[in-house]
Amino acid sequence: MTGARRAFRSEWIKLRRRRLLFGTLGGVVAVEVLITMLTFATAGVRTGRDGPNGPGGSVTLAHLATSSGMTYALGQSVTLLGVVAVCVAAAQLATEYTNGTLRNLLVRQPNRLVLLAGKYLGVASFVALGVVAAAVTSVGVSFLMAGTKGISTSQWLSAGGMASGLRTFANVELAITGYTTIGVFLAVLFRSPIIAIAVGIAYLLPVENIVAGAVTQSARFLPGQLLSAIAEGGTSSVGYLWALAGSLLLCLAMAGLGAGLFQRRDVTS
Amino acid sequence: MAPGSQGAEDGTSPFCARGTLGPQCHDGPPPGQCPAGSKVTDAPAITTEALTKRYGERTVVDELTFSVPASVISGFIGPNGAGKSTTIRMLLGLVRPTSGAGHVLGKPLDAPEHSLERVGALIEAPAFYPTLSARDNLQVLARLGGLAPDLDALLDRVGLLGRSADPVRAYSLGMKQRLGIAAALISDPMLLILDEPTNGLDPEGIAETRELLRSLAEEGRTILVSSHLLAEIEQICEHLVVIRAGRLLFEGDVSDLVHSASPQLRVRPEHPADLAALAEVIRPVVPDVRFDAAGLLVDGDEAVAGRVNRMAMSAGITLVELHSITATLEEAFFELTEPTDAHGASAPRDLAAGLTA
Repeated sequence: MTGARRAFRSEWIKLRRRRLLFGTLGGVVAVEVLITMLTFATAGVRTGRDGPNGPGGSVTLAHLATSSGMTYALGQSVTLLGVVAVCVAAAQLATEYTNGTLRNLLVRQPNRLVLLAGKYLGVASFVALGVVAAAVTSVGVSFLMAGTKGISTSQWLSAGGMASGLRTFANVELAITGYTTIGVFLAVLFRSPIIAIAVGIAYLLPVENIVAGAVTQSARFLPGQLLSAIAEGGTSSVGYLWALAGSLLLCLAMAGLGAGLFQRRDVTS
Repeated sequence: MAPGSQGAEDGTSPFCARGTLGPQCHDGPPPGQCPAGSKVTDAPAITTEALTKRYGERTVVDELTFSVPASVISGFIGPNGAGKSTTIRMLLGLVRPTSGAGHVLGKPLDAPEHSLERVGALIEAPAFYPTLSARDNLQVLARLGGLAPDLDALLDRVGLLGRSADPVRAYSLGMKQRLGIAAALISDPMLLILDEPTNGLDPEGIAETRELLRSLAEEGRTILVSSHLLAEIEQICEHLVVIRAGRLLFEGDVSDLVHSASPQLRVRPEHPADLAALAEVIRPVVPDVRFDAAGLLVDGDEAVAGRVNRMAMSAGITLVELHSITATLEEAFFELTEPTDAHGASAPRDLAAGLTA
């Protein structure tokens, strides 16, 4: 445990670099502003009796006025936040291979699993910080947009609204941790930041969406769909508990495979 | 029991076993600070036993067995592709041996978390985070190892204190090399493994690095240096390990290798016009006669020198120079490592076999 804590603290020396820290937080805030504004701007006027979505799949104004409206946009932005998490995690670990710095690290911490655990925790905490920034931004913009659209926010500030907001925040944190696991796994698998990031983005954005749209029930088994479902508290195609269990199994599988690869492979770069 | 592992099973360090304070206490305390009651032995700092690494059908390191004595500077040399870097990576737990065994500071290679605590390494090109400062780069390693080094002193020792806040991307190759040495020293190591430590350094930097390595060795540290600069190796190393095609060619004192090289004689007649005639006269004794700017170069020892002298006198040629030339390490190295057959097979020469026996 001491070794992992040292690896975690060591990782944060890199993570606190201004360009990375402020660049990531800036990107997250920009994503969140865009998605929250679009969510409110495109909200329909139908009642939310049949569910949150109105014509064309957009949320209804009525739904946004409910207790879950304050963090609705946050839940919707999880895929893009997840892409950021995959990119950060893949870049942080894979560049250790391409820079050749992994060999320095392994001389100082030869226990590879301890090193990997510490680095994973470091990146996961960094990304979690990004989710906090995203949540604050989303809530702030939601209040601003609610004013412009004439949406009542009284439900948002109720005890139920607060609980709903915290639940969404926790779910998004969970989902983003899953995306971080995917990023770390891709980094270990490909040992190249460019390939890891390219594969991650290509899979999570077009490929998975096409598969989910083309193959019935496939969303119940695709990692990105499962993680999105966690963030949204469950969707019409994937229940919340199924999403939790499925994501946990997939992440454990990726963690196990990634740890095995990291442990067994020769470091020749 | 494997060399160097003595005492490991009864809980005592194989390197602290003689009851004296001394630099060879490898296990735990800093150099020269063996606790009372601990002991010192002459156990080698590194041993390998039939260490082998294969990638598919290709054998990169082939049953390599050697040892590196403690508290001296050892050179690790061989032609490109000889397997030096792979061997070093196996010693550092970065590459898993296909077969064979080895010990670093008395700890087996398959337990690098124990063997590397007091090891510092610079492996091939220095690798750092380009956007971090030199100080932060060192801090990454210090935190990871749970170390609290005096970074100012460390940076000062390698001449980078004044530039320690600059991002490493602004460093020259020589500065990165110095930083690499600082990184290797961060754990106050008893064993330093340096792969091409003078690569990219200017002559002044090379000289400074040479002095740094000497001073580190004087502190009782063991240093294994891999380098292509054989003149540097000859100057700073006492002990040498030479490999080619993954196999051991020579292990022993540098002076042994140099003196084992074929002796040569320089012969110069009084009149340069006599050079060709002299070459013909002595050819029955020394068939391989080479011309150089100062006269003739021939293979041979003192006995041959006497015969050459007598033959020249008989032919009426006066010699103004007849002396033996001491081979350099480079000459000895080339003699040792040149392929011995048309296929470039890597079988060790008789010379090497005799010296390593």
